[in-house]
Amino acid sequence: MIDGGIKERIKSIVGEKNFTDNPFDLIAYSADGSEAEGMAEAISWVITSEQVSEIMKLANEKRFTVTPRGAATGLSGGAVAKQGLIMDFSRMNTILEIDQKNLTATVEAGVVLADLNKELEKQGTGLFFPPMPASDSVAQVGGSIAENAGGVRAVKYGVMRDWILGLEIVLPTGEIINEGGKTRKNVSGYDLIGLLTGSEGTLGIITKATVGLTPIPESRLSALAYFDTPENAGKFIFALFQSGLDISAGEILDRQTLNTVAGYTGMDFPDCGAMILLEMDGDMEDIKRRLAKLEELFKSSVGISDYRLAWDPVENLELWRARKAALPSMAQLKPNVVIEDTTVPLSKIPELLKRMEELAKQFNIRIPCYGHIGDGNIHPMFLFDPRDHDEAKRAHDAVKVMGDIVLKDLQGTVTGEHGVGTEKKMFMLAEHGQAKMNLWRRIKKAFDPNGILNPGKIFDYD
Amino acid sequence: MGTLGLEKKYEDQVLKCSRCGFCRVICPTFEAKDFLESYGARGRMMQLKAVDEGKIQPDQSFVDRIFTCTLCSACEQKCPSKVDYVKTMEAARAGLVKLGFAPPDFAEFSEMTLEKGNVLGQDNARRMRWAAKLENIKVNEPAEVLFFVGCNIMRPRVRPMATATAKALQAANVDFAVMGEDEWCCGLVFINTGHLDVAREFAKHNIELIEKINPQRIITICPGCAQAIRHYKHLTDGWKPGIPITHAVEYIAELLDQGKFTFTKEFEGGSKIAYHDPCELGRQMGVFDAPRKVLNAIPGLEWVELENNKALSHCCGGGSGLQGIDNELAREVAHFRLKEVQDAGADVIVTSCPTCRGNFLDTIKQNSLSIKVMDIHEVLAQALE
Ligand SMILES: Cc1cc2nc3c(=O)[nH]c(=O)nc-3n(C[C@H](O)[C@H](O)[C@H](O)COP(=O)(O)OP(=O)(O)OC[C@H]3O[C@@H](n4cnc5c(N)ncnc54)[C@H](O)[C@@H]3O)c2cc1C
Ligand code: SF4
Ligand code: SF4
Repeated sequence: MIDGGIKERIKSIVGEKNFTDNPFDLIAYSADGSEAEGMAEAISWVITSEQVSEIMKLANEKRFTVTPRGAATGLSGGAVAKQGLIMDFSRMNTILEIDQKNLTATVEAGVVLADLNKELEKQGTGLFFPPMPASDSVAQVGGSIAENAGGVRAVKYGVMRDWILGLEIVLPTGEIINEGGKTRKNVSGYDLIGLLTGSEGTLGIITKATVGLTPIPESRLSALAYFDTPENAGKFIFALFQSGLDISAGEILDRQTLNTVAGYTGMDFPDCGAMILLEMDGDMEDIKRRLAKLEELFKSSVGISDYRLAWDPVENLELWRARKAALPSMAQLKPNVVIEDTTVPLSKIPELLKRMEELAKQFNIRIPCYGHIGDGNIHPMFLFDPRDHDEAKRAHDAVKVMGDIVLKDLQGTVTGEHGVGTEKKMFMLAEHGQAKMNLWRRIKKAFDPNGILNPGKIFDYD
Repeated sequence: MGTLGLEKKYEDQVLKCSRCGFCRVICPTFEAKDFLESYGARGRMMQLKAVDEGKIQPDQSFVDRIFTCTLCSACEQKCPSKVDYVKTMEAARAGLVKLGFAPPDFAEFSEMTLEKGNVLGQDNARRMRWAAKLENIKVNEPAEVLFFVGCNIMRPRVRPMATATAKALQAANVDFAVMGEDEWCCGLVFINTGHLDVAREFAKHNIELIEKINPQRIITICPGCAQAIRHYKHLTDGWKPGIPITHAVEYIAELLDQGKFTFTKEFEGGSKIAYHDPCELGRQMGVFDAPRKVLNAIPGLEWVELENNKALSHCCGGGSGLQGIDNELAREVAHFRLKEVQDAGADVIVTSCPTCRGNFLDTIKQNSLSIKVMDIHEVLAQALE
C-alpha cells in the first residue's frame, strides 16, 4: 500500500510535477500492448539514476512494489502493475554521448529507439543502431533491453543482447552498479548484462546503456515469392541459407494473412499457400548481383507460382506494402487480437503454419500467421471480438493448445522476442521444468530479497 | 450502450484500440504534457472505455483530459488499428455533455455565442469592416460563389485576409456574395466539443442564408468553417447542398490553374518562409497541393517544408477550442511547432488558418521569438497590392 506519507516522500524525491495518483491517469497507465490490465496506486517519472535509487530504497523500507515502464508497447504485460508504483522513464531521455571513434552511443533508459538513429543521422555519423523492433518509433532503450527485443532484421543483425556493451543498473535494493563499458569483449565476472537483458524489469532497473553502432548499409532491395504450400516455402528457406545469400530480413505471410490484407487493401495476390519477402542490404552493385542469384534460386525451386524483384528503392517500398498492412488489416476484421510469438527451429516452420490452420478450424476462429521466417519467429494472431464471449473463450483456449503444440511437438519456445510478462506465464513450467524455475526463484531472491521489483512477471516467486 | 451512450460504431473504435502506443510519437498534447499518457490518444481511449463501461464516474479531471485533445487527428496517421479517433472523441464528448459534463465556463460561452452570433462576443455588425474599402460586394444576393468569412474576421488582424480573398476573386471576375452581418458562427467548436444542440442552431440559421444565395460553391478562409458546413448534413435532417465546400486557397489555386489571374508583384515578406499545414485543411480535408501551388506562383517567394509536413504535420495547438479550455497547453503545443520552424532555419511561418495564425502569434509574443507569422491570404494580399 502506498499511503499518503509514502506519496509525500516519493514527491520529495522526484518533485511534485513528476508524480500523479489521479484515478484517470492510473487508468491511462493500466495496460500495455497486450491484454493484461491492472491499476497501480501511483505513477512517478524519474529523471536521474539517484532518484531511481532513492525510490528503490524507500520501496524496500516501506515494502511497496515498483514497476518500471518504458513506452508500454510490450506485448506480454511486463509494464502493467496491479499495485504499487509505476516508474515511468519517458522523461529520462537524454542521448548522453555518441562516440564515433569507438562506434558506441551512451543513452538514458527513456531514449526512444528511433530517436537515437535520427540523432546519428542528424550528426552525419553514417552509423546506426540496428536491433529495431517494429515499435521503434516509440519503444524505449530501457524497455527494449528489458525485453531483449528483436525485429525484422534480427536475422542479420541479431537482437538487443548482441548490441549492449555496458549498462548502468539500479538494483532493487537501491545500489547503483555499472556493468561492462565500451569494450567489445569483456568476460570479467558473471555476465550481468546477459542476465539483465530480457529480465523484463524483474532483476534490476536499467538507467543508462552503452550500445554498439555499425555503418548504415548503402542500400536495401527486396524480392518476394509466392509458394503453393508453406512446406515448399520452408524448403526454399533451407536452400536459401545453404546458398550463402546474406539476407537482412526474411518475412513470411501465410494464406490467411494474405486474404486479410487483400480484403483490407484491395491488393491482389495469386492463389498461394504463403508469401515470402526477402531483403538484402549492402552496396548497390553487390545487392544487385545477389538479387540476380536469388532469381536463379527462385527459378530452380519447387512450388513458386510467381515472384517479383525490386531493382530500385521505389519498387522496394511497394514490395513491403503487404507486410506493412498485415497488422492494420487484422484490426478491421476483429477488434481484438492475441499476438503470439512462437519461435521454432527453421525446419519446423511449415509444420507450425499447418498446425495453426488446423487449430483455427478446430476452434472456429481465425489465426492468420506472419513473422520472421529468417529466425523461425512466427506471430500467430488469434482474432476475436471481446463482446462475443464464446469466441473470446475459443480464442484463448486455442492459445493454450498452441503452447502445447509449440513446446511438445515442435521443440520451440512460446516467445522469441515479446517476453513472458503475465501473458505467457502459464507456459513456463512446461517449457522450463521445476528445477530451472527453482533456480530462477533463487536468482530473483538474490537480486530482490523483498520481491518488490515488478512482481508477478515471468513466474510467481512464492 | 454504456455510460457515454456511444453508438456501436464508436464502441467498436474504442475496442479496436490495441493500446500499442504508436500514437505516442505524434500526439501534440501528450508531448506538451511531458509524456503524460492520459493526455495522449491511447490514454484517452482507455479512459473513455473505463467510463463507458461504468468502471469509474466522470469528473472534471476526466473532462480536462478529454476536452484538451485538439482533434488534430495526427494519431490516426500512426494508428496500426486504424481507429477512427476524432469522430469517436466527438461522439464521446457529446455523450459527456448530455451527462452534464463540459469544460468550465462553456455554458456561458455557448450562450454568448448564440446571443451575439460570433465566438468573440462582439457586435456582429463588425463582420463587414474588412470590406469597408471594397466596392460591389454582394451581400445575401444570389451568386455563383458564397464566401463564408468566419468569426475570426472580428479580429482586426484577420481582416486583410478576407480583403485579399475578395480582391483575388474580383481579379478573376468571380461572381460571389457574402452573408455580411447576418453570418453566424459556423458552429465548429460546438461540434468538436459535443454541444450539438448549440451547433444545430447555427447550422439552421446559416443554411437559410446559403439557400437564399444559392451558390454553386462555398469557400471559407478558415478550414474549420468548411469542415463545419460540410457537417451540417449530420446536424439537420439530411441537408444536402450538393456543391463543393472548400477552403478559399483551393479555389484560388484552381483560378490560377485556369489562368484567371496571375501574380506579378515581387514578394517582400520575410527572408525564409516555412509552410505549416493546418490539421483540418491538410490531414482532414486532404488539401496539400493548393497552398503550395499558390506559394510557388508568387514571384520572388522562397519557402521550405517543415520536418513534419503534409499528413504528418504537427498541430498548432489551437484546434477544438483549446485556447479557451487551456490556453497554456495550447501555447505549449504551438511552441513545439515553432521550434521546428527555427530548426528549418526559417523566420516566417505561413499557415492557411486564422486559428493557427492567432495561436502562433500569441505564442511568439509570449516567448519573444523572432518568427513572423502570416496567413496565406496575407501573403496573397501582399502579392496583389
Ligand atoms: C505493434 C507492435 C509491434 C511490435 N514489434 C516488435 C518487434 O518487431 N520485435 C520485438 O521484439 N518486439 C516488438 N513489439 C513489442 C515491444 O514493442 C517491444 O518489446 C519493446 O522493445 C518494448 O519497449 P517499451 O519501451 O515499450 O517497454 P515497455 O512495454 O514499457 O516495458 C517492457 C518491459 O520492460 C520493463 N522495463 C521498461 N523500462 C525498463 C527499465 N528502464 N529498466 C528495466 N526494466 C524496464 C517493463 O517493466 C516491462 O517488463 C511490438 C509491439 C507492438 C505493439
Ligand atoms: S487528435 Fe491530436 S491531440 Fe487528440 S489524441 Fe490524437 S494526436 Fe493527440
Ligand atoms: S495508435 Fe491506435 S491502436 Fe495504437 S494505442 Fe494509439 S489509438 Fe490505440
